[in-house]
Amino acid sequence: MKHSLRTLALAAFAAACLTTMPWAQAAAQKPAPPGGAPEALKGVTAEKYPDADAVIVNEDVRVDVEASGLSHVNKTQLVKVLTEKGAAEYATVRFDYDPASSFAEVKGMTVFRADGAVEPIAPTNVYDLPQPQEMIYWGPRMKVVSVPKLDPGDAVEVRTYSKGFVIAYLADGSQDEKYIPPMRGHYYDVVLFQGDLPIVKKSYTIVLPKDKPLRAEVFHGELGSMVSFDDTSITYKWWKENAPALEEEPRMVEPSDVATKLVLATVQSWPEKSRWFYHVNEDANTFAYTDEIKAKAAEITQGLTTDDDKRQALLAWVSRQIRYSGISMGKGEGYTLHPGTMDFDDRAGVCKDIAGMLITMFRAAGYTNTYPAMTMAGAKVENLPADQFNHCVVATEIAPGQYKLYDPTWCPFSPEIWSSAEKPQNYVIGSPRGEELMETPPAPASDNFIKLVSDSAIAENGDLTGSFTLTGGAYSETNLRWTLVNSPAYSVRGTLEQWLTALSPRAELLSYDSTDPVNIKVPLKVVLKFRVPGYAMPYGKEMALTPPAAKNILSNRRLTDFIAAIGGKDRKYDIFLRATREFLFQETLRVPQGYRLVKAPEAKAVEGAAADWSGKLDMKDGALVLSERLAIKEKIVPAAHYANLKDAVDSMKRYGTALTVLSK
Amino acid sequence: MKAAKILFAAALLSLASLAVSAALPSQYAGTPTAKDYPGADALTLSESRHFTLGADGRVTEHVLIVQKILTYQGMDEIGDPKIAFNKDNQTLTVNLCRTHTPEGKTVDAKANSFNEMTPYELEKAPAYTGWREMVCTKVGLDVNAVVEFEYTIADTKAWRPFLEGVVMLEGVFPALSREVAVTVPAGKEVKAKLLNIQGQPATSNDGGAVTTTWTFKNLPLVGRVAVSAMDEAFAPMLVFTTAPGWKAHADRVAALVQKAIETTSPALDKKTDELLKGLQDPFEKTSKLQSYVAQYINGVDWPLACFEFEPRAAAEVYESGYGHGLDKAVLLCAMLKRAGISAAIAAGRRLPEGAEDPTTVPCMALFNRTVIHSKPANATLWLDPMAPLSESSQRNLCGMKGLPLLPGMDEIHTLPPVDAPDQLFVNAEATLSADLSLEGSATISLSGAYSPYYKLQGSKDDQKAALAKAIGAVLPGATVGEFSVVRMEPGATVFQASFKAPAPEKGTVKALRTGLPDGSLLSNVRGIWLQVRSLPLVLPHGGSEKVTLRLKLADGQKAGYLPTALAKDVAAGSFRQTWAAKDGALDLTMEVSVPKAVVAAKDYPGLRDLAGLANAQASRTVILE
Repeated sequence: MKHSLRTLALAAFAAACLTTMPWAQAAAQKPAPPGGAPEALKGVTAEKYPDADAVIVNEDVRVDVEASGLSHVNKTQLVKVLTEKGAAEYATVRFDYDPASSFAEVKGMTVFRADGAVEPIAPTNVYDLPQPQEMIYWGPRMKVVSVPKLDPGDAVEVRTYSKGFVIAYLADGSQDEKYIPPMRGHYYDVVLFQGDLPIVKKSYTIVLPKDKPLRAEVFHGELGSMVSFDDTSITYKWWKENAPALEEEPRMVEPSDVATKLVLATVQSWPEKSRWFYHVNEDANTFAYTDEIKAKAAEITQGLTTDDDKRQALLAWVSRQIRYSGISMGKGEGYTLHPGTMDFDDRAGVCKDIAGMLITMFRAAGYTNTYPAMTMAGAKVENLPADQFNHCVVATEIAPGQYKLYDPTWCPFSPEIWSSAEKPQNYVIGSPRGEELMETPPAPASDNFIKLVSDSAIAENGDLTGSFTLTGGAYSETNLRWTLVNSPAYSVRGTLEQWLTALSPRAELLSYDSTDPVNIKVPLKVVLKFRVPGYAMPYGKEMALTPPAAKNILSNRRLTDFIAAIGGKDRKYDIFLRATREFLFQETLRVPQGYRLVKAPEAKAVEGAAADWSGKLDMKDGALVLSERLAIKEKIVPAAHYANLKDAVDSMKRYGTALTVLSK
Repeated sequence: MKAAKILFAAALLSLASLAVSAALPSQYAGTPTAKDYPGADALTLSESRHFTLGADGRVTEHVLIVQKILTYQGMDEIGDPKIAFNKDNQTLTVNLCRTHTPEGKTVDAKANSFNEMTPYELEKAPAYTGWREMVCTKVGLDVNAVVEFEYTIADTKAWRPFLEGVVMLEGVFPALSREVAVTVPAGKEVKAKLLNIQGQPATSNDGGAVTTTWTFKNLPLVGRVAVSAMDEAFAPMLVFTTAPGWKAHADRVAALVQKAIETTSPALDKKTDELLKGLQDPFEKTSKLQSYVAQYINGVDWPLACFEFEPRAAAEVYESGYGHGLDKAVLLCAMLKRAGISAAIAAGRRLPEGAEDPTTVPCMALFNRTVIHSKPANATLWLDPMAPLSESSQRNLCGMKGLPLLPGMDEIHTLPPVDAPDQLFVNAEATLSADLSLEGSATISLSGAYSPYYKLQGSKDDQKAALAKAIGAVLPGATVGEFSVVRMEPGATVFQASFKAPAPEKGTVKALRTGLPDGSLLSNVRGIWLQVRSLPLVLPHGGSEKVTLRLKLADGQKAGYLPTALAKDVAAGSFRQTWAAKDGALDLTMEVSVPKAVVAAKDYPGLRDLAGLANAQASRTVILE
């Protein structure tokens, strides 16, 4: 189910590209205070934090960066549990690392009991284990610490040390060589100062060689800061006190887009990073192709005349044939793409590898100025050249300095070359001349239209028979296709039956048909034929019903994710939607002879920055005719636009339950 | 701890792991395609699963699966199987992972295709991480490719008292051929049973070992949409064991359990005393301890048979903060013991009524949960160590067939249902205002499996919330005012409550919507959108329901649309409903009867009809003029 793998797909490249994110936020190796529990624990009580199961009392991170970029990260975290639930959650504590590129050590752990007792945790309580993995199988490991049973009021302090990064680096050379970042000499980091738990105090210190300049910026709030230096190094320190836990809102944007965040990098500019990304792959000869690949590219593009058609055919083949499953190639894994020749044989990989196959195919077909690009799906990239990426795509230069983007991970069975779920999205292309940070333009709602045309008839006794014809554009069409072709075959009919229950629990799917969902050159059309006994409510000379099309049978988490965002009266955070959307419902409902429309539900149009809604009911040629439109015009809906979004969505919901009255 | 040994036999044979021929190898040429199996994403051409018990007590499991991919979805579905094995006691050898592409290539998996991981279920239970999963990523996949996958799991020492297994015989891929074989030393008896499928095993004798083989041809696809573990009790399976009888299991496990219960610690005793502080009533004590263990000792969801039903000591389970079903049962028993409350553990599985009984084979691998039988004072309480009483009590556990883990036990016991008829009654009366707001009172009576006694006893807030949900389901928007408990015991809960509901949103007509009561067997039926099922549907329970509602009309109000009288009888049950306008009031009477929890697949469409009729807008709406 390629389309359902998005999170993991993105995570793969997070691991690959967040070369700046040392896994273990580790800390100064200070021993437990000899006299007992830290003073800071006293003020942290359940009364003071009534909504928290645990509180981070203190977190210190200190990063010492060598000239090579090798980082030594020491972290101390002190957590006090306030409830039984919090105690249960801290029964084990886990730290992840990748043995191919990082070293991790639990330096010490201490339990501070509520009664003042201090208990060091034995090293035998630390287990070194392979991580659970799903879809990305790169052999990462974890340290799991079995914490002695905690009670509310107890605290646990963990001191860790790490060096290196959570991706695979070159394993040659000296003992520490494999921990040095591939962009040698550089360091970057993204640090959040807010999370799931309240934080009493958190600090981040980085010590850099004196000749290594640093770019840094704080987003979404303020941090205390200090800079000092000596003969050999410069020390930067940031801190925050009393940060509340992030509140959760349905479909809110990523925490990194709202939490107080520090972004820092020693890289001077995006073009520098772009050139590095270009060279690291070119130097590995990643996109070399064989005669067999060239022949396959020729076979796929045979008979096609335009460049766009040829590239789209190659995209369709790669996105369909290279399934999402990441296996490690060892050396270079994580930040270089798998060679196209490897992908061609394996027919499997993560986003970067699928992108690598497409670049190889493009080049084999003659589109030589094709490069990988780093993107961040689901969150912003701040304009600071730190790695803030979680996804990899393809850019081909169609004119000097003008690129066309392709995403083979997101486009299996899709007529799109660049998913409308990725508009807007930041990206950096890895090109020989070096590129700036760029952003894809937003998609207008009409690009992602979904149209339901209902052709139905109601009988005098209230029985309904009819058909729904579904078509769509871009994001919406792709999701319709995935329903048919990227789901277990035995489940497809059940899914369509489930859609129809929005009409009535008595609805019966009589049959369904569609154009070939694998053929992206033919617009998808799905036809559902149905009947619903006793659909309308006849009484006297009247009949009450809701037009079937208004009931929106397409309400599900992908197509109508915006519904989940509608909750309370106000929003604190912006809303992240999968894409903009336009729903068009058209109904022609033939009614028994002599019936006319006497009462139609109120349909006050809504117009706003985030969403529009309108609905209209008429009688025409003996049929009830419905025309309804809902447009979700923003993919990221600012909290200030929530009222408009809510108004439009509520209007659609009301219209879908309101009764229309006919009379004869 | 020995590392799992992965042999890449094919890779060793061929450094260049690609070979090209004209098309599929001859043995796979002409095999069926998606056209022949339109509902399937892959087709199992052949599957063999062979268990061998050696004379030294070690077990070897050898598996060979040959599958043809029929759809793109099939590539993902068979692409990355995870094979569980116990690293401390077993080696896993992948003998072959080879893809034959439709273009004639042969692509063998390389070393990087095999990745060992800690199972997600065990990631927070380090004491159990001897259990690993090997992810085997198949490469070179394509539609119409054929994949050969062969592996062996071999014991490195005799660590299991018996050879046992439960093998599901049908799944989401149809199979042309499936074979299960069990080999034991001559003289060792294998007890086995096929459930929900017919078949006659073949037996062969070879060099002092006896092999019993079950072979099945043309097994159909069984979809798994909205299927529960209870439904799967009706799926074809094979159960086998070398255990001589249940007593052998009971004697062994009982000794382990007893020792584990007795191994407490000062810290555990202190926690028990702290939890019991101020409590006098034995039921309250039991409930408090059970709630703590169920909610705050993290549960480990991994087959108990993998641990050979061997619990860790109570003190260790407490200290680590996690445990599997038997660990948590042991901990709870130790705490109850300190509280002076007697308790005993049984291991078992819930079986729906009418399912074939697998426990005629003394196979512990059948059991997937534990339950504790306790007797605070004179009452009998069934405790689920993995969930609080409010979520799992006798009404949810009944039908469980299990073995009491006590020395000498030699028979399976069945956990009885709540001793009260399964009935739901709602009797409500309300006065309508002109704007359709309403105010009234209701009596709600829930008995047998409907009774949420353990969820509600002792908490007025929970009772009020449950009443609001119950009445709000019948009259949407209704909120509860004053209420009283008429009866509150495990088998029956009866409430009286006043309620009111705001006027519905103004629309084209004055429509009052009603609903089925919360907990009705015809509301929220699992997967009711499906028009057909291949396995029976197992409902939470059977029962009968009756709702009477009198709505006194405001001056001048009269009924416009009233649902017609409905009466439908099907094999699964019946639904009846009448609305009547009389003496300035509207009277609703609704009756539901679904006598049995198990609805056969052939009877399912009838149940769907009942649920559709009961929930349809035209059945639940009244229009007033």
